[in-house]
Amino acid sequence: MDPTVVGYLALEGLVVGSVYALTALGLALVYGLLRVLHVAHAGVYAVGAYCGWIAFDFGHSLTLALVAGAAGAAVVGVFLDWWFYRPLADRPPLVPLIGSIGLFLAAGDLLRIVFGPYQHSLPAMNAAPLVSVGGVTVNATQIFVLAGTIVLLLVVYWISAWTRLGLAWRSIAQDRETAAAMGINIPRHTALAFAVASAIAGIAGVMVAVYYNQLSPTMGNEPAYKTLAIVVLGGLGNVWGTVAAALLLGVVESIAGAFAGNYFPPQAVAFVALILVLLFRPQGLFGR
Amino acid sequence: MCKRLLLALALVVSPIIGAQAQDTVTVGVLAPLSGFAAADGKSAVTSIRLAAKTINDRGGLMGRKIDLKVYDDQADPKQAVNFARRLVEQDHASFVIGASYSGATLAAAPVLNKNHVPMMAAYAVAPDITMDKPYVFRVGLMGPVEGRVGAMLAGKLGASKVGMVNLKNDFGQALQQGFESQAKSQGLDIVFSDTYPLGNKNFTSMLVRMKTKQPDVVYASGYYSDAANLVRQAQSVGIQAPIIGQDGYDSPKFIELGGDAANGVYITTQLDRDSDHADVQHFLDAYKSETGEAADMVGATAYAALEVMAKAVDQAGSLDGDAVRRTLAGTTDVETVAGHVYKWNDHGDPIKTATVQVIRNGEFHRYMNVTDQDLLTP
Repeated sequence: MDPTVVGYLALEGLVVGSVYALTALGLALVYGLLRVLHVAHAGVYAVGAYCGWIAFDFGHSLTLALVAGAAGAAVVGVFLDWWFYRPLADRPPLVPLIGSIGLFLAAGDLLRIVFGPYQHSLPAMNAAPLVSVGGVTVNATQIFVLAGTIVLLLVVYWISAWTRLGLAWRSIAQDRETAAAMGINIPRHTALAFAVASAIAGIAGVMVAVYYNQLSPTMGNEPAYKTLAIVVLGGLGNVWGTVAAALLLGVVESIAGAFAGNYFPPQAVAFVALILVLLFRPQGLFGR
Repeated sequence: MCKRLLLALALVVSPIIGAQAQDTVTVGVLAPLSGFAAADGKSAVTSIRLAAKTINDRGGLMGRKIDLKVYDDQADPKQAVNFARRLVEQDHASFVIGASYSGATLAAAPVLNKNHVPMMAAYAVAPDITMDKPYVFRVGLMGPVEGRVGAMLAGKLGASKVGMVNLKNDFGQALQQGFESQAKSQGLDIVFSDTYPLGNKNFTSMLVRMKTKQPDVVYASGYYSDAANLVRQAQSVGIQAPIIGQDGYDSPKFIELGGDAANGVYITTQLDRDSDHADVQHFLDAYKSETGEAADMVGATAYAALEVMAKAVDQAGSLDGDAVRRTLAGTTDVETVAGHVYKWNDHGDPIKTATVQVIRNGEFHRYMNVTDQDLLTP
């Protein structure tokens, strides 16, 4: 096999996997704290992309688009926690799950009704090759997604390992009652988790919109199901396992698409992996 | 007293309503206004309304105004069947414009054919739509014909080695089949060929494998949002060979989403923006002033479908399904906003011109018009 082809496959896989990682990470964080699968997170991601698009149209600045995407998504995320998940906290877990699926569908249709069924463009960068690494050309959008993902992952690592907020999240995830008894304000820390998770998803939405130069009302559909598979692969609620699973899925999909795409759709990799993991390793690839 | 008044009112009003019904011609429209194909449905219905307005402004159909009955079939065959029945049974449509995708149009066609209601399909490509249905016609180009035109263009661009990227659905397969048969007769060498599923976003690995075969021209089938990704990624991996697309690319959105990478892309299509034909310029201007956006191929074929039916009705001097059908079958040389139709063949498919447009400075422009009837006959 031609080594440059392998290089391109790895590059494409890492870029796609980075975006999976950023969206799935929020899902893992929320699951860790609430034990709820926050399917509407993919809707928050799409809303973030649209916020970034509006800001870019307005100011023609990528920084402004990223800030607007993060802020818009964070506001929606905190609102969902406060208005939707908190009132349902005492119901069986199926209730918030089904409601969350409904919210996700509503988000897509709302975007369609307000902004039209068409794709929109976010032309912040063009796709012309920028540098060549061993025969593999890399363009600005790919560097943007990879570098942005590394920065965001470092931020999340810093919050979770070095701040009191991270400590509080870990204690809530381990034992909610004891954490509350120790004086940790659970609603406040949960809201902050929603804010951080949603802001990251919003930035991921803007990144995808820049990478493909496209955003559409249905852009959340693919992350909606793939992130579910990823958080299970990563070991439910295990944030770093989730990140590793996301990158792995991106690369495997890229390779499967290149060599078996005609017989086996790469979109199905996530589900096959999900089924295999549930059968043989239900704690997840990286769970204990 | 009150009752008597109402009765009197009814007696006075009913002839007026009746007269109004007599003064209009009901034309059915099936188009996807919601769901995944909503953008195309919107373009088609906007264009049909413009065509109806143009016809009504010049006196209507045999002196009667066109009254459009538009149903949103969501490009779903089940919905299309139900709405086709409603158009026949409740609305008593004189004829129907099929402005939806192949699946939905294919489902509606037999219902209309059985009830002897003529149908004109706009941009649906499936060959079966018109097959064995004397009342069903089409105004758009057939997939295999467009594929042949693509291969002719590849030869014209001086290519001897072609790389193919094919969309895996009926549209992509029809194009591929047409392209391959013509490529063979022209002696073109297909050095790479692979397929992708609808909605695919990542073409890099496919394009890199193609690049190693050094094609002179890339023939890639698809719809504009996937195609925009494809041309961006071709630019990113450094493929310099010209890319040939088809009317699936034909949307101002392709240029918007493809950005700089869209420049230099050729498409085989039906709407010639640089046509000096008055109807085409009228359509382009009217669409632009109605929506603020540039018209596309879907809109042009939908506009042409109503235009052609109106001409047939006027020529037949009757709204009777049989008379309209016979007139259409015998019609030759009709100029439409979606090209010149030489005639309709026995299936009801058009033998018509195609146009090759190239994108320069973010705009579609004519590269050449294709009038070779041997190449264009389905």
